Amino acid sequence: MAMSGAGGVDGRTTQAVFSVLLASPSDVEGERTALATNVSEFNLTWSAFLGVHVRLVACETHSRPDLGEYPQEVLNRQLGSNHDAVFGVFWSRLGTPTPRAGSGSEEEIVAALDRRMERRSRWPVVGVYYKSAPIPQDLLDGDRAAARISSPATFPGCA
Amino acid sequence: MGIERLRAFRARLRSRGVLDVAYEDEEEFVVQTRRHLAQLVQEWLSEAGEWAARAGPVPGLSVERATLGADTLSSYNRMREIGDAALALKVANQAGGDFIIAVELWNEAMVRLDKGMRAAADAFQDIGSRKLSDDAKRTAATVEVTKVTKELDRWRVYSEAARHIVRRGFVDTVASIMRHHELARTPLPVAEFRRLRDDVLRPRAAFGQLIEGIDTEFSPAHRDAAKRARAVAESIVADLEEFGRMLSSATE
Repeated sequence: MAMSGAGGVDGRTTQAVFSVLLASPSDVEGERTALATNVSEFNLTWSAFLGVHVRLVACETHSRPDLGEYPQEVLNRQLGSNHDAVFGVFWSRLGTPTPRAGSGSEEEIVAALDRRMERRSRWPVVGVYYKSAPIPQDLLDGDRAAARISSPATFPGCA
Repeated sequence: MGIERLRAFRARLRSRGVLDVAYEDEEEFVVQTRRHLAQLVQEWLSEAGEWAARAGPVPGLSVERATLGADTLSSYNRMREIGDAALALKVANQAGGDFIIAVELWNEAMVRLDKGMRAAADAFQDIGSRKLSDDAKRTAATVEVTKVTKELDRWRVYSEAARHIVRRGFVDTVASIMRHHELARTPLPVAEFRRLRDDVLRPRAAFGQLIEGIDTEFSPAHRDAAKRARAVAESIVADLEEFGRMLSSATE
């Protein structure tokens, strides 16, 4: 459990931080925004009362351009690995392949599962959501389309 | 193809024991993740031995009941999925003592009721506006009514569960929290609820048309389905009106 603040000094309070990593390709942008809103709403409503702050870690808010072994490796380093939960969200595509996995999102989820096994713990919890809505024709070959616009040498963003 | 790679990935995760969740649209995603997030934080605090200490100050909440959350919610969901209203109510009764879970169940019930009432209103209006002049149309309308009845039965589970939670003093607790912590922007859907009450009027008008249709157009064989739909929908309207009275008395 991560703690923030300095308890007991001049009325300061201490809060536990519950860290959630969001792993998804870019075709579920609405869900990414919705989850951020949910977390923000949770913090507004419960944070002060329970003394817990939920931190949503996502590539659009916690990454920056950098150099590394390969783009997803840069993201892995910047997003960190010490999360309490990983939420994966998928719809029409798995994402852009990396040297180690089928996509960056897959790499993040599998790393979380491996961490659970190492720790022999149920944390981080891995929750994977699949959208069952029909996929529009222009998204049916989403991975191929993404590959055309994403070079492995460039900053991967949230693809 | 992207979708095939995704399917293979899903199968790989399942082989590692990952139980995934399917959702239809963003609205459902919001409802599910909101509840799951609350549930996870509560479990996390429970495991750290902190939940009881933190939950202590909640008015009317006993520490023992606060620890029921995760199991209660999964039981509730399981009962709800198989459509067992009686058992869902039983576990909702347990959830009544669990503050965060109760709030999330309430939110979910309201969202689903909202969806259900709108769908029912559309269907009833559609049926009511038809001139049921021949057997084929009557049969089609009956099929539609049966479908709506089935849906309404599902919403009724939510309606009853939410009412049950309200009856267990949940509204008093929320009102107290709102007063003491000035959480006027809490997700407690007071405004949404008032909107829901307005929406109730629309299906009611459609019920009138439906009743008229039953009396004049439906054959005896089809009448039972229509009557059943009307009874279920009217009981939901009654539930909503009762919510209104309870909520008003707690928040005024």
